[in-house]
Amino acid sequence: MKGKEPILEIKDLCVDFEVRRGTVRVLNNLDIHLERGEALGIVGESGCGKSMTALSIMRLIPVPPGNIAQGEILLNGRNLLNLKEKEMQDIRGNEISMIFQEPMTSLNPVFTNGSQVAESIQRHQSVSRATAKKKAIEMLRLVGIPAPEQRFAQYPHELSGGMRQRVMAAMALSCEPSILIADEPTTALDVTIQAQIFDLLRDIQKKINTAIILITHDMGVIAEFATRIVVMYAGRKVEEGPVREVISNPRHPYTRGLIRCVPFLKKDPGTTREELNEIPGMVPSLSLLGQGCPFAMRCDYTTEQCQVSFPPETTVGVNHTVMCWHTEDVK
Amino acid sequence: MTNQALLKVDNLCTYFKLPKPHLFAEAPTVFAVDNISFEIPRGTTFGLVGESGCGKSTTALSVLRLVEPTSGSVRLNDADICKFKPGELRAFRRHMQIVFQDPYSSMNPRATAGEIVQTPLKIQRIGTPAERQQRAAELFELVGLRREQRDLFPHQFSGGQRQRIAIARALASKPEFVVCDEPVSALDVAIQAQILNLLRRLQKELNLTYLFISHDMAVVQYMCDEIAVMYLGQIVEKADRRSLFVNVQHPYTKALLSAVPTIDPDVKVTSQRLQGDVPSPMNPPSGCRFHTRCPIAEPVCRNEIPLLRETRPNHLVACHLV
Repeated sequence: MKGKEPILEIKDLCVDFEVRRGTVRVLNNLDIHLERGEALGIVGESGCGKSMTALSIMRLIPVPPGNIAQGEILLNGRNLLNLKEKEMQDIRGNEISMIFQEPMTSLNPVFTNGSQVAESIQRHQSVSRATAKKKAIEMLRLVGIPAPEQRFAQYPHELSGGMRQRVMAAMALSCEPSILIADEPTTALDVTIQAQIFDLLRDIQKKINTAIILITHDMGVIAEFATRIVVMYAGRKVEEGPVREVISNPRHPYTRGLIRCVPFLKKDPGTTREELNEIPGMVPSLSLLGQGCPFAMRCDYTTEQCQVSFPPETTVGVNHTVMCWHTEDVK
Repeated sequence: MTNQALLKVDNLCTYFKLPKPHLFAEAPTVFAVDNISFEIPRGTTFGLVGESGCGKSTTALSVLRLVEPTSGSVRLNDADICKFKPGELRAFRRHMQIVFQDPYSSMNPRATAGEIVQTPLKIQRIGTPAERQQRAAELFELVGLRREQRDLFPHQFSGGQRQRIAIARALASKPEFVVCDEPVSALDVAIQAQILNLLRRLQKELNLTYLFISHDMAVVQYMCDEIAVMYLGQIVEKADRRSLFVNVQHPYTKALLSAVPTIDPDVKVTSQRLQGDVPSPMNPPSGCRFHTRCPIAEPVCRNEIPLLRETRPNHLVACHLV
């Protein structure tokens, strides 16, 4: 099933959050693996647990109210959930690093761009300040920032959104991490800038063989960037497989709805327009979910079985798995 | 019927003067919208597309005079909106309405949904309180909400439902012309389809005319009958829906299209990447404003401003080199 050795394995992960009315399970029996150097896309609507997955891997979930109820996250066979905070700090930004959605808010406005990049180099590598600075400038050049020597001394507010995201990328990649998590890295950016950022990530992925987890709600972005896709819904994985295969032949009703409900750019739009497919209703509140399939209340194929128990993982193709009782009907 | 222009915009300019940096300096000016013209036939959708800062939202606001245009004329049904006195303008607003991008910040959190939808009627002094109540109930059903939901407050609705309320509010005074300023950009992907379908259904039922603003090429392609691409305050290409995508001509439009991620593998032919960022509209480049990022720029582009000219029937391009 797994082609290459996985560098990261999430096994049976459950994450709970304490809220006023009780406990909410935000991640439910999640199994995801990541191979060395691959690009994995995680897709889903807001609240489906994409960002929670990223934060769990980084051990950035606030405890309490959060609580990792069960499961393990193995980085090269080592369970991250058993590490002490100090040990985790050696991993964050060094072996696993992250690019956040908002380049406007994730840089510190009172430090220069360069010093923020140099900080992580100094933290993880035993180098002098001067060397760290030199390396930071080199990183800024690598991510395509013009005149990096001048940009080094400037503050984040002096840069455009795209440039700030490049600084974030420089920071994240400065220690040549083996895993990069990009959480909606281009959502706040224009498409032409988005294309530049993805070119950059692709380049760097090749150069230092980083595995990338790309979290997004945009199926188009996943189709162009990732090789494998995980579709999440209400804290669970519902479909997983090679990108092309899943997009051309989705076997979960939710994946299918997600692909059909968005207009995609066509080369020739023709003269007629079909109505867009709607997924009726909206994502249910996580606190109201029972034992059944969380998508049951919005699904066309729902039967009684869907209401009472969550379907097991069914293999429907090469490396293509679906969690649905009615996989055979969805074709 | 459909060929008659409902809205005519001629040589519209909107400049913003910024505060002087010091006493004797000249006030810097942002050329947000610079000399654009277009027409929208009744019952159709006209799309404005471009990157952030290209002036598409300012155009929308200027057309409604929510921002005062610097020069030019905007005619709705042959009435020149720019010449109205304040009182006349207010009365005329019943014919033109807007749906904003963010359904979270465009509503009074202390008013119930029903009150929000009735506000335009109150301002326009349409109907008695009982009639307004009745009209609000009708509007709720029209946009796919339940009558009883009129008594709830905005925070009790989801983003998609709030956008439905915003649409109901825009339609309350029975306008002919509605500006949709990024109406689905703030919504979840699965909800976008519901709103886009709703807007198209309402257009058919009420013969509405839309000015549709979006940065999302795919949404614009789906919604609009005619599309104008804007760059730094100017229209660089304008054509009907099919022609724009099949016979795309301006290098900026080409680059914009090639940057859009899509699941359709046939779309990717050329992958042209634009370098750098959009220049500041405070100090736009000379000649063709796109020449600083254009992959095929020649010396003429730096010196001479290209005019919009018709290269095919109903297909206008502002470029020296096509």
